[in-house]
Amino acid sequence: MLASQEPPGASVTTRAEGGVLDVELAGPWRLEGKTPRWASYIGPAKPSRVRLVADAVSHWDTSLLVFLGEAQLWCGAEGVECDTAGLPEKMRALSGQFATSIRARARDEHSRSFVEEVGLATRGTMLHIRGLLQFVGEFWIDTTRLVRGRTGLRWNDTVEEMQKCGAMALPIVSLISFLVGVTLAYSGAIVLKRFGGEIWVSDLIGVAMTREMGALMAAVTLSGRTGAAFAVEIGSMKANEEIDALSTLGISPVRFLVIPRVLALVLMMPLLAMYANCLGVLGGMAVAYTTLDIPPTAYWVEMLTIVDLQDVLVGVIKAVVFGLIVGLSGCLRGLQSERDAAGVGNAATSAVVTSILLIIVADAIFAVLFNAIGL
Amino acid sequence: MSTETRPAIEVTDLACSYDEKLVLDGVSFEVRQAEIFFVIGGSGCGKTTLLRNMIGLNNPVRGEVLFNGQSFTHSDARSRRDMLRTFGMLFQSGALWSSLTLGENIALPLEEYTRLPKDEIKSIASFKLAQVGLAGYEEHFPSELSGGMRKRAGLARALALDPGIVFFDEPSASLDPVTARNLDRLILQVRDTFGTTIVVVSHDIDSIFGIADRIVMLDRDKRGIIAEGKPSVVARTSNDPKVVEFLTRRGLGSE
Repeated sequence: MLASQEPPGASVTTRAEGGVLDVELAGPWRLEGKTPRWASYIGPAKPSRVRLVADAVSHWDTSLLVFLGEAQLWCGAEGVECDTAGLPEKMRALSGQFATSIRARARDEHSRSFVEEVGLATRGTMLHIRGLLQFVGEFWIDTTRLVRGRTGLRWNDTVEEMQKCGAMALPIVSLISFLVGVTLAYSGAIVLKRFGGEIWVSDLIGVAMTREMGALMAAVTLSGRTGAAFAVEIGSMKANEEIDALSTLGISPVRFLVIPRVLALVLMMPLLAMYANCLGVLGGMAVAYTTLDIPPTAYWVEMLTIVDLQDVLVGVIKAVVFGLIVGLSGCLRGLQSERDAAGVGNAATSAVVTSILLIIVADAIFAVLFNAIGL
Repeated sequence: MSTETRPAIEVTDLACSYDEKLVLDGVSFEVRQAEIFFVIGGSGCGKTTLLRNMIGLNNPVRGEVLFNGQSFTHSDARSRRDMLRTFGMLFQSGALWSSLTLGENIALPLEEYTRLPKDEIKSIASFKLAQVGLAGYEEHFPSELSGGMRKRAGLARALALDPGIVFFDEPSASLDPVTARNLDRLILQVRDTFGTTIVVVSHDIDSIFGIADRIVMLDRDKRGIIAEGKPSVVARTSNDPKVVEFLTRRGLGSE
């Protein structure tokens, strides 16, 4: 059995002689081993000339080039003559290339000035806004053409999308809105118990679900479920040149892809929101019955004293607008997607963020608006 | 066959940019009727950018493209749509619509531009597929096909409306040599049967010498054309080392 012996690593010996620094490299130079750095061999006295010798090197790879490249760069920067004549020809050529590549990188890495950064950012924002306006404009034009009967609607696609974003979303919307009803009931009960008015839990949930939570929860669910799917679908079509293929045939991608999807969402979202209302009320009812001892009939009768069709209408109006927001953001981000896998992923993220942000903003505007007109 | 003397395509003083960088400047050339015209050049020289600017996927910075004497670049949306109807385009990846079957892919342009009844559209789609050797594949989805079959199906779709001009973006890219030659044969056949004008962007030497009537060669540094003419003549007479190296394919072995 061989004795396990630590192989002698790369070594550097330096000898200063009358302004000339002799640097002798020896041993095996391997990237995975420990190799000397040039910086540790620079003495306080600056030599006028550096002579590199590598006669005793038994094996070498890029780690040696790193050392030689740094040495040459240092010499260049300090104005010291660098004598590489003692190196084997291959080593000399490669280390020269190494030093050149480092110099080229150093030039590219120049930091942009503040003004340049601001300018580029402004330009980026302008282009972004222009893209947004262009998209909304195209959507508007194609929609009015459709309404006037100038172009046909792709009914098959629309119905298919309606099934995907509506019927197939029922389980998740059921679960979420039922649980929202349950949590609302519990937190409402904490406050209302103080006044001995547990029965008003039904009013609280009725109003909150119909006016607010039903549409909001359906919209948030669909922005994650459907909006992201739109972005990915359209983004991958773009990556595969399928959108270009539509354009070269003179078929507007907005008419062909965006309108069926947005229409499907605008039609299905109010239905989903009303469905979510029912499930939310049901969740509240279950909590009221099991923990507050309020019978479902009492709950229902009490709720009807305050909730009327107007509240449901408020929820439905919101749902239509939320549907438009989710559909448009998903399709816009898909069409804006970069033509590669990472770009499609970013489009999905961006679609969800955009739609949730716009939904919340729109909801706030609605709150003010409905308050002003007394709805 | 057409007795038209006017060139099918005239490109005058075209400047195109890619990612905000000017890649082509002052490019002018003509493509004659029923000609197989190749745009060649090394990677990154702006071949595909030129093609995208010619068919309106990007807007040129300057210059103009005329089809049969009519300006495409400066036309309104309506006449642009009318002109687009007369083009076919085969994209590099085939670009078949992945959610539609092959039959539906070819039927879509016909549904958009004609008032033919459904069963006639279906027959035409089957006929076009048979022409490219894909008879019986109507119900297949693009994802179920090989790369070569997808390109042929893409060609069938490009030919759906019997276009006067067909553009090809690197038709032989990512195809094996035999499949690539079959595609070349199809291109020749299309031209000989219908008198279609054909513009091909390619760097496949065998295709260039095999089927091209005339070529222009683009260069990245010059941002424009460095050679124009019959491929064999250009290869023989050009004294630009870049052109000669590209066309004579002087590999590492011959140095």
